[in-house]
Amino acid sequence: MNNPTMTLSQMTLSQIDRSLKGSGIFFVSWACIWLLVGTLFALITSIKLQYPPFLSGYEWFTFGRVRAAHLNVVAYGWVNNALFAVGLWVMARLCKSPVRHKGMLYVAGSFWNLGLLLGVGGIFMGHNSAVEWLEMPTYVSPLLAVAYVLIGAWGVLAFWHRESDHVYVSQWYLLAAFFWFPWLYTIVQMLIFFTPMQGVMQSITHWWFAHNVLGLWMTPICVAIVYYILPKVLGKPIHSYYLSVVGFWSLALFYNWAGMHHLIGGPIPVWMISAGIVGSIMMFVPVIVTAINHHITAMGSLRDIWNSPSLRFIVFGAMNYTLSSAFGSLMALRSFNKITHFTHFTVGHAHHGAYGFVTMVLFGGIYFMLPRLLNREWPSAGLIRMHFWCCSSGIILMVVALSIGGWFQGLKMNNPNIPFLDIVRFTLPYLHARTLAGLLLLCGHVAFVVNVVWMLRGSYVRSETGPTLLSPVPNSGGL
Amino acid sequence: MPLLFLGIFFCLAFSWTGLILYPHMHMGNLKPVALEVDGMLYPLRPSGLAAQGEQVYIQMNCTTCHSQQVRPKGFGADFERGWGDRQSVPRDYIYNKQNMIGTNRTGPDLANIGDRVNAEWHHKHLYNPRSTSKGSIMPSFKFLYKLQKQGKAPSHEALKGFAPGDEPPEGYEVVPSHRAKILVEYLLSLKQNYELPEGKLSK
Amino acid sequence: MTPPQKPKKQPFETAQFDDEALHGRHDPALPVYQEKGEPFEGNSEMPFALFVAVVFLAFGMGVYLTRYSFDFDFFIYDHNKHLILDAGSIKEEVWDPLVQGEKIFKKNCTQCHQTTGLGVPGSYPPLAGSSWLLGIDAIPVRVLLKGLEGPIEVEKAQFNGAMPTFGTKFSDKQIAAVLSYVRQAWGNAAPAVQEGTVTQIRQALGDRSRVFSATELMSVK
Repeated sequence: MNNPTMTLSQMTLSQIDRSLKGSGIFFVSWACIWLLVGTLFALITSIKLQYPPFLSGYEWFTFGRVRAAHLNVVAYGWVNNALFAVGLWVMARLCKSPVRHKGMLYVAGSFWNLGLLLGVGGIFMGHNSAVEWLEMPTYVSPLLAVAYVLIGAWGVLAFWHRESDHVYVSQWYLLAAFFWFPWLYTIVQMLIFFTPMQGVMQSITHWWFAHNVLGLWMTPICVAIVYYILPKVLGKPIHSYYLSVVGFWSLALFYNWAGMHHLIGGPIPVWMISAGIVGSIMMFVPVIVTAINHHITAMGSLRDIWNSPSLRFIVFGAMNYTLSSAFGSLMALRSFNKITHFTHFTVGHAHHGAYGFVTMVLFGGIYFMLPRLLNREWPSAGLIRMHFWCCSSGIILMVVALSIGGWFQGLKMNNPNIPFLDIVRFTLPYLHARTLAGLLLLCGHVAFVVNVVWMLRGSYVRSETGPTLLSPVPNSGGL
Repeated sequence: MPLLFLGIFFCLAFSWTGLILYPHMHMGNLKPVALEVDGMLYPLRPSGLAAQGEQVYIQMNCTTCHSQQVRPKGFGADFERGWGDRQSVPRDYIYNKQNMIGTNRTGPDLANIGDRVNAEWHHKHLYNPRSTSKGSIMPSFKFLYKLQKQGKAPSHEALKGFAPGDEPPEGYEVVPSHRAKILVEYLLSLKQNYELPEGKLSK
Repeated sequence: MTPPQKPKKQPFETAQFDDEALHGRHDPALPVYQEKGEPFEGNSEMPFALFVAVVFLAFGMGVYLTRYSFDFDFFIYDHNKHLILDAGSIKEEVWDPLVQGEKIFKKNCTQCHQTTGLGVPGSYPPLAGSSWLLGIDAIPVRVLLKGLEGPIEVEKAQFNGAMPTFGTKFSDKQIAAVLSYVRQAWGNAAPAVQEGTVTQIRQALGDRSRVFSATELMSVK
C-alpha cells in the first residue's frame, strides 16, 4: 500500500473520528449489552407462548411483562444506543466541523442507560404502563426525556456549526429526526401519563407516537446511514438529488399521519382512520423514491457490496425497507387490515421493519464506523459472515412464518364457525418457527458481540493493513 | 436553511394539530348520557374495586393479547363470535385510567367479557387457563392465589373443580388474593351492553 | 479465524503534520485513508412515469378521503355508514329461535361448554348427548332459570361445579331459543322448547333464590 497524502478533508475526518471515539465506544458497548439481553427476553417470550407453564410461577416473569421488557430493551436499549452512536457520528462527519460539547453525549448516554436499567426493572416489578412502546414506568421518563433532549440538541448544534458548504441528504434526515423525537416523546408523556387525556384520545396519541418512533426517528436515521455509507463505500454518487428531495419531504409530510392505521375498526371517528390510511398509502411515494435512489446506486456494484461487511448488511436492510414499507402500506387498507389486524401478521411486520431494516442497517453502520474510531480492523471475517447468515436467515424465517401464520389466523378469526381455541392451536407451529428464528438471531448476535469485544480489547487484530473483507479479493479500497 | 427548519417543524405540527389537538377539542371531554331504560347515566362509572382492578390488568399487561373493542358489523366477525352486540364508541371508554383498546387478539376480545362469564369462571380460568379452555396458551396467574389451611368449613371463596394435577393437598384450599378479586371485579365491569345515541345495539 | 497477532506499526513517514497524537494513532495505511471521498448526489431527473404515478396516487387518495371522511364528523365510527344511508332503512331481522339461540349460546355458554358442546373433561359437563338436557324440558329450563350447583354425574363422568343463573338475564323467549338450539345442535335431536313452558315454570318457581342440586332435579317430573 502506498501512503496516500493526507488531504485536509481527511484530516478533519480523522479528527472527528478521534473526538467521537470515547462516546462511540460507550454507546456501542451499551447497545451490545442490551442486544443480548433483549434477544434473551425475546426467546423467553416466544417459548412462553408455546409452553405457557414456562417460568409462569413468578409474577416478575409473567408473559405481559417479559414481552414489554423485550420490546423496550431492543427498541430503546439496542436500537437507540446504536442510533446515537452511528447517527451522531455520520452527522458530525458530514458537518465537517470539529466536535463540540462532547460532554453532553456522555451525560445523555448515562441518563439514557440508567433510565433504561431502572425502567426495565420497573417493568418486571409491575410499575409498568399498558401503553405499548411506553411501558416503562413514569418515574424514568424524565431521565429519558433529558437524554433525548441532549442528544437531539447535540445533533442540531452540530448541524448549526457545520463547515461544509453543501447540505447532504443524510443531514436533512438526521436533523429532522433529532429535532422531532424529543418533542414527540415529551408531548406523549404529558398527554398520556402526566395530564392524561380522556379515553380513546389516549389511544390516538399513543399510536401517533408509537408509529412515529419508527417513522420519524428510526427510519430517517437509518435512511440517512444508508445514504451516507452506500455511496461512500462504492465511491459513486447517489443516483439523484431531486429524488432525495421528494423522498424526504413526502416522508416528513405523510409518515406522521399513518399511525391511525393501528386503530382501524376501532372506536375512533372514521375520518381520522381514513386520514391515517391516506397517509399510509401515500408512504408509497417516499418509499419508492428512496428505493430507486438506493437500489440504482447499488446496482452494478453487487460484487463490492457482497464483499464489504457493512454494505452486505446495509443493502439487505435497504431492501427490507422497501419491502416492509410496501407491506405496511397495504396493511393499512381496510380490506387487508380486516384480516391482518389483531394477528401475528402485525407482529411479523413489526420485526420486518425494526429488525430486517433498522437493525440490519445499524449492524452495517457499526461495521463501518468502529474501524475508523479505533483504527483497527475487524478481527474475524468468519464471525462477520456467521453474523450475516444467522441474522438474515433468522429474520426471513421469522417474517415469513409469522406472515403466513398470521394471515390464516386472521381469515379463520373472521369465520365465526371456527372455535377460537382451534385458531390458537393452528398458530402454534408458526410460533415454534419463530422460536427457531430467535435462536438463529441469538447465534448471530453472539458472533457480532464477540467480534466487537475482540476488537475493543485489541485481541486477534489482523496483521494485514487492508480492511476485513468477506472474500479474498484484491483490495478495492474501503470497507 | 431556515426553510428546512420551518418545514420540519410544520410537518409534525400539522399532524399533531390534526390528529390530537383538534380531536381533543371535539371529543376530549365526553359526558355520560342518561338512558331511557332506567334513567341512569351510561356508561356506568365502575365500582371502586373495579377501578382498582384496572391497575392489576395494567400490571399483568393483559393488553398484549386481549383487545377491548368491538369492530363494526360486517368488518370481521366480532358480532357473530358473540363479542358484542354493537360497535364500540369513544364514550364507552371515558372512565378508563389507561385506554386499552388493544391491537392484538392472541386471546379473545374482552370488551364485553363481564357480560359473558361469572366470577367463578374467571377465578378458575386465571388460576389455570387450561382448566376451562383446552389448548389455551394464556399464562397461569397462580401467584395471585393463596394456598391456605382449611378452617372448620371450607371458605366460600375457595376455588372448586380443579384440573387434574392442580388440586391442593388434603386439608388445604385455594383462595383468591385481594388482587385476584379486584382483577375479576374489573373484568366483570367490562360490558358495553347498553345503547348509546351513537351506538345502537343490533338485535 | 485469524491467529492472534499484534498489529505491526508502520512508520509514519510524511512529516507534514504537527499533531503528535495524530502521528501515533493515525497510521496512513489504516481505514480512514482508504476511504473514498465524502458522498454526494447525482443529478438524474425524476422519471416522468414516476411523477405521473405520484399524481394519480395523490388524486386517488383525495377521492378516498372525500368518500370516507363523512364531513369530519366525530360521531361516525362505522365506515360502512353510507351503505346504510343508501339503503334507506335497515331491514328488521326475522326472529328465528334457532339462529337467535345459537347467538346467545356462543356469547354466554361457550366459555364452559365450548363451541363443540363437549365441555371440558373434569371441569364442565358436555351438552352433546347429555341425558339431563335431552330428557324432559322441565329440567334444563329450571337449570337455566335458577342455576345448578354441586356434584352431578353426566354420561358416566363426575363433575362438581356451579352453573350460574340466567333467569334474570334472559327473557322466556330467549331461554326457549337457546335451549331449542342446544337440544338440536351437535347431533342432539330433542324437541324444541316452547316459550310458554318457560313462562309456566318461571311462575311456578316464583322468587325462589336457592340454586338447584342434581338430586333435586332428578325428582322433577
